[in-house]
Amino acid sequence: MKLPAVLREKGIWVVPLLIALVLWEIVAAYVVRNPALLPRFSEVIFAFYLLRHDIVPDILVSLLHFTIGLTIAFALALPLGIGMGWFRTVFKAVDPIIEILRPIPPLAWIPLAIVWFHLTHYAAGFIIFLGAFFPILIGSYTGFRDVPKVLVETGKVLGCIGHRKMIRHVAFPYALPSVATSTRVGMGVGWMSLVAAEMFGVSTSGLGYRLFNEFYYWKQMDFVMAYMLLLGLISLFLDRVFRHVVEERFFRWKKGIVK
Amino acid sequence: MNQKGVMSLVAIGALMAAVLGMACVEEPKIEKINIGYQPSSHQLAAMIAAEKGWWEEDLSPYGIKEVELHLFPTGPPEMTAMLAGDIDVAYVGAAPPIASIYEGLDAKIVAGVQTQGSAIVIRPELVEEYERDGVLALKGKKIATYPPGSIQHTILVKWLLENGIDPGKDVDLKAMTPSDAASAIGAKAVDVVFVPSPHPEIIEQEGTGVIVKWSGEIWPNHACCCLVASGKLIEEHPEIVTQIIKTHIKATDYLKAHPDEAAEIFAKWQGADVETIKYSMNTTDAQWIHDPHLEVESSLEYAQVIYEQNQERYESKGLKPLTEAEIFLHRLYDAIVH
Amino acid sequence: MNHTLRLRNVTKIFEAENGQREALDAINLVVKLAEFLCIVGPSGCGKTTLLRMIAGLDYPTSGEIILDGKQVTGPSPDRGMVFQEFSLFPWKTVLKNVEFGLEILEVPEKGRRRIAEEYIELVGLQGFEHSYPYELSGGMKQRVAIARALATNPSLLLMDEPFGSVDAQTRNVLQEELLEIWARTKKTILFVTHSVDEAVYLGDRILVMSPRPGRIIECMRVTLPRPRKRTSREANELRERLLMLLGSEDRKIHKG
Repeated sequence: MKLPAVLREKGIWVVPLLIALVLWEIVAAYVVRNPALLPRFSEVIFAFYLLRHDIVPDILVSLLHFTIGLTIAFALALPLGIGMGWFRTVFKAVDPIIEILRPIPPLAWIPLAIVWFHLTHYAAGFIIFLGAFFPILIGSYTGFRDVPKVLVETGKVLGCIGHRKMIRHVAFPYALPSVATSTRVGMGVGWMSLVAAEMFGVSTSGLGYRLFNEFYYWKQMDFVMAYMLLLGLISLFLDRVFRHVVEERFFRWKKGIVK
Repeated sequence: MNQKGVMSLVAIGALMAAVLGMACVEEPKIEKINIGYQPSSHQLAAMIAAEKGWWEEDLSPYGIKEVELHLFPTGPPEMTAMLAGDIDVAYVGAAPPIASIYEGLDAKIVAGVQTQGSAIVIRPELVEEYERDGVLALKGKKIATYPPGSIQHTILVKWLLENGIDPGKDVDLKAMTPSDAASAIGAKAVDVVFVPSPHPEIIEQEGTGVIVKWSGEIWPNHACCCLVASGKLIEEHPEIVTQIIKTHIKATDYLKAHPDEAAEIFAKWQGADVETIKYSMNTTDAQWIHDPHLEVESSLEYAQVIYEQNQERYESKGLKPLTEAEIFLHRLYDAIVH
Repeated sequence: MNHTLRLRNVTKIFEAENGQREALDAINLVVKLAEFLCIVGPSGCGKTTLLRMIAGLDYPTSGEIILDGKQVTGPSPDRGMVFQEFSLFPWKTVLKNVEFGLEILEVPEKGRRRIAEEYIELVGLQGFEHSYPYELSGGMKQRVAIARALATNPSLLLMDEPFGSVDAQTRNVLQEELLEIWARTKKTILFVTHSVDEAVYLGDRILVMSPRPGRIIECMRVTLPRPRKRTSREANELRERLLMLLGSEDRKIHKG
């Protein structure tokens, strides 16, 4: 069957989405018939209404944890990335440690986080920090390491002598898109870690906390799914906003090269 | 209709057929019983019957070849397992099944297990404040207890509300397993712990906390643990449920007659110190019972408190506070005893 | 001031895994003020290495490079350099690229803007001040590179095959424009190229280098009057001469 041309071009994503939602509703209502096992889509939507008092405070707390973790990750990863990308010796010295720590899932750090920071916002922030730190670090040092030789030499012959000047005038602008993209990736990983961090009781409110320490225990699966949707949507929103504000605006030149 | 359209319709159709098919498959005849329990001395009956092989012995005439016990840290996860069909019978506080029944769990309380038996434990440095101010000393404190929907959480919330303390704003309630709660008070990460025996006694023996109030003092004779059976098991195999209740009665009577041996079995099963458990058996205010009627009054109160905690949600679903008939099934027990 | 560049016995030896590689052997050279000097030679003859050492991006193993009586010890905006390609800062507009050297010299904003605009006009790109490199053609990019190198008013302009990456037509146009710029600014230009045609068209003198290790085989004067005709008899003769020189050197290696 041929869909109308307009739909095919602009809104093709609507079709599978609608089919999925309708299927979900039917299966939940007539096949599973157990809202604790699979809530209906309509119940999940209604849940947003029932939760209206909690949603905004929870989002704000989660965003607070997220901001703390992300800011510290960026503040530490960028300077270290500059050092590792620009100075070969620094890279060789530090990289093995980084490569050992990096694959450890942020969640595995939770017991340590609880012991070091107790059950406070800092413990949650720490887990998010771990999630965001490594992508930003790698994107940063890659950007700084890959500065083309011809640009560095051009800088030199135009009087840009010394590491400080070179980093400031040549390396940093060149590496900025890489830093930005990796920050966006770090944001995504950090957000995912946030939910897990809050789930483990390292805070007393927030989306992940409420999902796991209330809705799960009460077995209110429609609330669980509503918050799951919310988590996904916020992540999507943050990602798109970042892309629009930072990447589109400032890095047209990179697109020009890549295209 | 083009090729792609046909293929997607076929795929959707196959998916639906598979899902419907799964729902219609017949269950095979039952050969295994899964029993859920928790690491609390409240539920010693389950452990004793298992230790002595009574479960399998008593149920084999009904075609049961295997009985497996599943350990859960607290009640709410145990109910999740029951919802998923992973356990058929549960030794659990009366509140979690009530909370789950509101959410659609098909199960009933078929026998009582015990009443009372939990305690408020405070860090030694804060005892003086408690002795001076009583329950109001809990304001602004970090309290670790079982998760929402559990007996402990429900009793604590009710007690705080009765004394004008807002459980959401005036205290920092943290949901934890009993071992995490013990670690937390030891690390001074929390100030107060409210958990069932033998954990308060263990904490006291370690010197990291002082028991200041038993739950029986907060709410005399409140129902605590009970025996829950899934609606499916009751409907399809009432004779098995009846036998399970009988075995439970046997184990409970044994436990009351031999507290020291019971302590040894608990220590063995949960890896605890025997002397501490024996001390616990002597100190706790838990009362081991088997008559479900004894738990009705407080259970209906739990149903009310839980209803109020989720009022808007339940009202929107057209639910009312649960009645006795929606929570309890007395008929099988009554048939045994009379 | 007598902007003279003098190379005295300049030798360059590279260290490699399998021993040493002699790139340049005892180069002696004097470059006169406002001269247009072309350097031709086969690939690997070291002409680029020579240019880089004059720029200060590399250093001789022995010998001296002296500009204006002072030894060259590192890069400086006093010796401007134009690379073959990809040398524009892609995140900067044309204007900001040309201003770069002035920015580093801490020339105040208004002043450097004015200077940059002058040089942009000189290379014929007025109107493109706010374009980005990715929006420009290859020829336009090289014009910007020339403007940028000239903006700091260097004593010397070093050019490393600057027109090697553009098509033949554009190349010819750029050569003509470069000569006009040279006439206007009277800079001393060192121009490295592969192309014999280009060297004959542009240079006052042409340095012919041997294959590795690079030596100066011949220093040819080109006295053809400007503007030159590419296809004049004298030009053809010169080209033939050069090709022969380069060819025989080439044969020397292949026979040897």
